[in-house]
Amino acid sequence: MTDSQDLTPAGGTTAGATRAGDGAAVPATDRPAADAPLLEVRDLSVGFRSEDGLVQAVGGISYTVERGKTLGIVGESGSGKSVSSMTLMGLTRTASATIKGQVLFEGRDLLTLSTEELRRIRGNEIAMIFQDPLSSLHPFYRIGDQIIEAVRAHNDVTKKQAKARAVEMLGLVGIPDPGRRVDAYPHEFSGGMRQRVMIAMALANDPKLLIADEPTTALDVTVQKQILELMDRLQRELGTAIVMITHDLGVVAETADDIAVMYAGRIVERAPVRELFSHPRHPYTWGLLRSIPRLDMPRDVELVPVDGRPPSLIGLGDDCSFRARCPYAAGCCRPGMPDLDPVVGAPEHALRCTMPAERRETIWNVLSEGGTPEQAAVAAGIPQTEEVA
Amino acid sequence: MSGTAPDPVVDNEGVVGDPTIADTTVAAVRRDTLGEGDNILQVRGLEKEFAVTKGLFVKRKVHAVKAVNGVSFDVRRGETFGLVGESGCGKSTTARMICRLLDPTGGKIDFDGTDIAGLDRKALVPFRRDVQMVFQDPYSSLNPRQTIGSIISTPLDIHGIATGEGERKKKVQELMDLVGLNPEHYNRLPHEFSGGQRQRIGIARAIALGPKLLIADEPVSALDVSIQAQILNLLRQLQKDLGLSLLFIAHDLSVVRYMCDRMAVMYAGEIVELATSEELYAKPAHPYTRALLDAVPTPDPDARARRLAERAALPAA
Repeated sequence: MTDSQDLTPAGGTTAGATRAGDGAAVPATDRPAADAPLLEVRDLSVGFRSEDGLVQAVGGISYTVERGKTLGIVGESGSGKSVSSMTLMGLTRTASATIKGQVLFEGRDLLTLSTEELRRIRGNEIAMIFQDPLSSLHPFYRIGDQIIEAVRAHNDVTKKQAKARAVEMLGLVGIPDPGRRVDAYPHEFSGGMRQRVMIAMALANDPKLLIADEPTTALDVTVQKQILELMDRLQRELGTAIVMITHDLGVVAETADDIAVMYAGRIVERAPVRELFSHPRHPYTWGLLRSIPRLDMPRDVELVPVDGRPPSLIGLGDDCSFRARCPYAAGCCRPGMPDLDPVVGAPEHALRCTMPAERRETIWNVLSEGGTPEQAAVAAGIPQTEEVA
Repeated sequence: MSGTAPDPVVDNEGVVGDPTIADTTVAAVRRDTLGEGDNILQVRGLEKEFAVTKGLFVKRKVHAVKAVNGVSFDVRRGETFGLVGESGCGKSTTARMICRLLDPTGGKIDFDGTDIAGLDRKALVPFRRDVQMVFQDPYSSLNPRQTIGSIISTPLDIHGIATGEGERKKKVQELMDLVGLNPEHYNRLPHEFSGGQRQRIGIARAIALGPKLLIADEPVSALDVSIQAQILNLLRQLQKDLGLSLLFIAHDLSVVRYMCDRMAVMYAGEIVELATSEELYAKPAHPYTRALLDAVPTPDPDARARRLAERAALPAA
């Protein structure tokens, strides 16, 4: 995800975008694959009509994913991280949904494809694994049959060939005795093993992009570690790009090349992984970093929760959606939604906040030394109001 | 029974030299002593066996699963003691036995000088005031058709405390204020609250009777990251203000370390290591503890690189 902010938002200038308009499936070999990003999301917004009004689940997000790289999308429940990724796969195409923007996968706009065209991509070029491996596997069918079905849906192969592929994939993801286990049912596997089966199924057709939505949240830490290591190894061996969606900053720090932090349907901060953890710049990112207990910090450093709770996605105003919870808004926050702009001096780091750079630095210096938001605000000369959420 | 309690499982010799995983069934690494200090709770050789039965009408016991197998630990007055382990290690079963929501099949639970492991329902009534529990899931642990006021006052009604309508409402609103809820929301229903607020309701209910021991079983694992810290800090604050002893159960090692003075690591129904939080994290002695610590993802890309480098530098064991 390099410099999507440099591109004109409306797009339409690249060869891919114009071709995508007529909906023709363009073979990947036709295009200059080397320099175009694998996936480019431009100003994607997703809203759902509900009884209470329009729920703006995703409010205009843009990012790119390069071949073979991992983008980590971090956010809490309701931040739009899952909805945006499901939209890439066409899984939110319902009567009540309004979807705008562009999702360019190798130049083709996935949002303009027909369901039939999408079906050829889903599970083939783009695959997805979900949080709960038990409810994503059909309990009545042998796991081998489920992988065979996925293989044969996209390839003209015999059942026997597909089964050989299933056994090969199960071996690749570390299932012992895959030749025998291919005939087992989902309930015969543990949670971690089921997630391995899901990964085997997702990767059976050599997808170029794997979307992993909280793939390890339901698993124990030791199993989580195995699954993350497995995904890392497979990525190196197969060159799959990964979008890793999670609420766990530890997981993205271990796996992602780039990170996008989402809040209330928007990306508020985006940077390469080292940059984000060494120089976090958005108040919400600070809040996340200071509200998790860490093994590499002294025990007596108090956790600082983010006061209040995320806003309702119905009738979000035009102002920064984090403003109500931001301890540093006084004196520098301007009305209106800030743009996601590159940081001066760090072009790979994009930020949706108008706080002056010096103030930002002062505050993070205090916070990273274990100071409280109040101390940080005082150090930065922010007027303190007696406002308790 | 302080100091002289027979202790079938735990090795009091201190650190067991270089234990391997194969030893886990016998070797508990323990760096403190049982029965010392002022203990609110002493658990000795606690066991729970679940029978696996066959047959439709005549149940035959085919074999038994030992979910908890000889667990011993103390909770000192006013401290937070942590039980940590992965799913299925028996930590919740242990908690439920201490609350007597489950009947132990062996061992002793000495609470404030009384062995409560064998007490019947009636004899348990006074004990129920002293030990309360906060549950994991704030959605399923609150009755959706009861108002917040009535949820929090139910324990008061059961034990015949604050029986007058006005007195009860006052008491409940005090509790709501104490846990950071708006007392005006007395008549609202659970669905009007977010997950974090629901957990506050569960905590208010648990402290309504002024318990001596609060057992919190995964109280934050269902909550969002930014909300978790609110609840953890609330529990720490309440413990300080009310002088509670807290038995804190979680799978997340960083959370347990933040909350607890001492902690025990459970694996397959047994305690494999017990020490102060500082010691356990600085010098984990049991291989399982080390594996567990090693598996926790650190939100610091450099730490990951350092760790990989350190491991590469180690001679192959």
